[in-house]
Amino acid sequence: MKKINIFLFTAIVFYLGFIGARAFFSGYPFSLICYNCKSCDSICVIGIDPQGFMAASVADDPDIYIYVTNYRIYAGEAEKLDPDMIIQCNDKKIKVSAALNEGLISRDTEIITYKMKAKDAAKVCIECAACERVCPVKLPILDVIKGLKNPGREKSL
Amino acid sequence: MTVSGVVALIIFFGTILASLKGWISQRLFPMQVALLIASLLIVIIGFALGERANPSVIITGTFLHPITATIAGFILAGALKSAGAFEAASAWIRKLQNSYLGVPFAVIVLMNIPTLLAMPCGRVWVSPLIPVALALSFDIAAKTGDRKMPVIIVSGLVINAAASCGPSLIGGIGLIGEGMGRYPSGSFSDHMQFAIMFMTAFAMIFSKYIYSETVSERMFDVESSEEVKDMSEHGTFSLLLFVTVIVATIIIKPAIPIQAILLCTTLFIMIIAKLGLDDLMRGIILHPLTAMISGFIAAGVLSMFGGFDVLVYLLGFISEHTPLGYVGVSVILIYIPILLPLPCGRIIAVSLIPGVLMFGEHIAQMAAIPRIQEVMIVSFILAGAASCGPSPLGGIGSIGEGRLRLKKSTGMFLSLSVFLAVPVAAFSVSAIGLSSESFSRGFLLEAVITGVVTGMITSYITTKKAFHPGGIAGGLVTSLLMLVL
Ligand code: SF4
Ligand code: SF4
Repeated sequence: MKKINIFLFTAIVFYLGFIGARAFFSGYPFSLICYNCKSCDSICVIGIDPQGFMAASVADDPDIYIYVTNYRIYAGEAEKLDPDMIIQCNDKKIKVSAALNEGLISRDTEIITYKMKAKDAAKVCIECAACERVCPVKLPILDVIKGLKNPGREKSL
Repeated sequence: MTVSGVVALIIFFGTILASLKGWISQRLFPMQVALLIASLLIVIIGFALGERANPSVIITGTFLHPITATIAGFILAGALKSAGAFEAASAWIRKLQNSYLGVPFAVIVLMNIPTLLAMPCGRVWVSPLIPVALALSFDIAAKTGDRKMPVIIVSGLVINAAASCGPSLIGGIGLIGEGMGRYPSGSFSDHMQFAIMFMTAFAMIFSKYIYSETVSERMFDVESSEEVKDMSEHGTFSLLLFVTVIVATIIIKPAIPIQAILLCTTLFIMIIAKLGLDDLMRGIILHPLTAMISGFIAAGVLSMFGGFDVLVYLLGFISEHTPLGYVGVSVILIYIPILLPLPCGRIIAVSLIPGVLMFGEHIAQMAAIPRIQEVMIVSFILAGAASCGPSPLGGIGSIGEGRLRLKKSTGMFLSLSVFLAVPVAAFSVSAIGLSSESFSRGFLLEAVITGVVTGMITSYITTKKAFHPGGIAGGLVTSLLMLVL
């Protein structure tokens, strides 16, 4: 039993190192500094939660879902982009594909998004840099956004 | 709502409960191990149920900020200790005790320092302040004969530090609520700070009158017989440097991570006091760190299989189909962080704030009182921020228990203090409303009432006299400074 415990405790320490390494491999090690304070969230006119970009960098994964709560898009377009995208529909948060299948909306309906993949959220960002200005540690959030927008750069995320 | 989400929630809650109740032997499976095994079980069952899962969710659910803040705090505390800063602090506090203002002034100011100079994580303060609190409390215990004093003062300090990440304007949890709810930046802060002063006073009351354990005789003998060391130049300098850096950080709010600031301060102290790496390592305690990380992993797995979504769904179902209704469920929702105390309030805050906002909006519409949503979100955030105090998963309380060598958990009465302080914040928001303007008549009145009442409670507990001028002066100085800082 002791050996299992020691193994698991060591695994916890390694896990921490693993996260640090992932952030370095993503090319944005500064994302480790993020306070998760969401100050950047309140400022974005599109309702993007820019902290999600930091999370995508730490995980080195552009496909994680992040909040985008104020972006309008036609349901058909949203489905084409990502059928698993979460949208706001009749007070419910639902996958766009499910809303279409259940007949709650049609492909021509303009919907408001709720959660999108980080790489898709980067594409709708207008690069106004408002999020960077309010960040208490002035993280270069736009660098990550630009990296996600650029398909070549995206691969390393 | 998915089956795997329900299973995940049951296993998660079950593991925490079983560990707390001792059904899982801590000797065989410490909390960290139990949580990792539970996480593994959730993953296996989730996959068996055919769920698709993305491990990145676990990584993004591991918030590095409180972990690194804890490590930086421990390292700095090690440097301060080795440089003799705690002896210097104790000597100053002893002088203060013997002054006209006396013990209550020293106690109330010391316990409220974390909220007064609120850092993005309360753990930054706990490590450096606990030795000072211990010195002060053993001193008072020796003079008054009240052997509970170490538990009383350390508990007050611990819950104050735990909750202090709520009102912190440099990356605190309050900012998450302001950000996600789109409220003015800094508008939650003063409401929470005053409620935390009450929370601290409640923790003192409960540790004195409800909690039965005192520190061991052996520890008493060791601490009381420790000779009073003289203030060294290095110690005084290190202490002054530390306080100056923290105050400057609060006022200037430089765009530098607090961890980097603490490490630079440590480096400076190392050079001045000629310290080695061994001196720094002495301050590091691994238990809360590993517990915190395993808590993050378990919460990440829970979130990966939709456990938090199930929780929100269940609350919605109960509100619509039981007599509790939306109002009853909202009260439960506000207190979920202390019913499910995780190692960092950010986990629950990020996971459940959208649900709280949704419930708040619903009730506000039903009652036609828009301020209800504000009341709910501030109350929830305060409960969330303070919940790392009673958390058995490497919460701040476990640092206090470890330093006092207590066998019985302090979680119950710390939770009770949070439970009673949350309505104070709710009342404050409903009466004054949310604005980033601190100098209103409402806030001034609240500061005076909070300072006087908590000052009287501190005076009574430490000197048996409610109307001690030092206690009231200390309370007033602290509460008024909270408006300024
Ligand atoms: S830069 Fe993009 S993410 Fe940041 S505030 Fe502007 S639109 Fe939002
Ligand atoms: S404002 Fe900066 S530190 Fe805060 S969550 Fe956003 S990116 Fe992170």
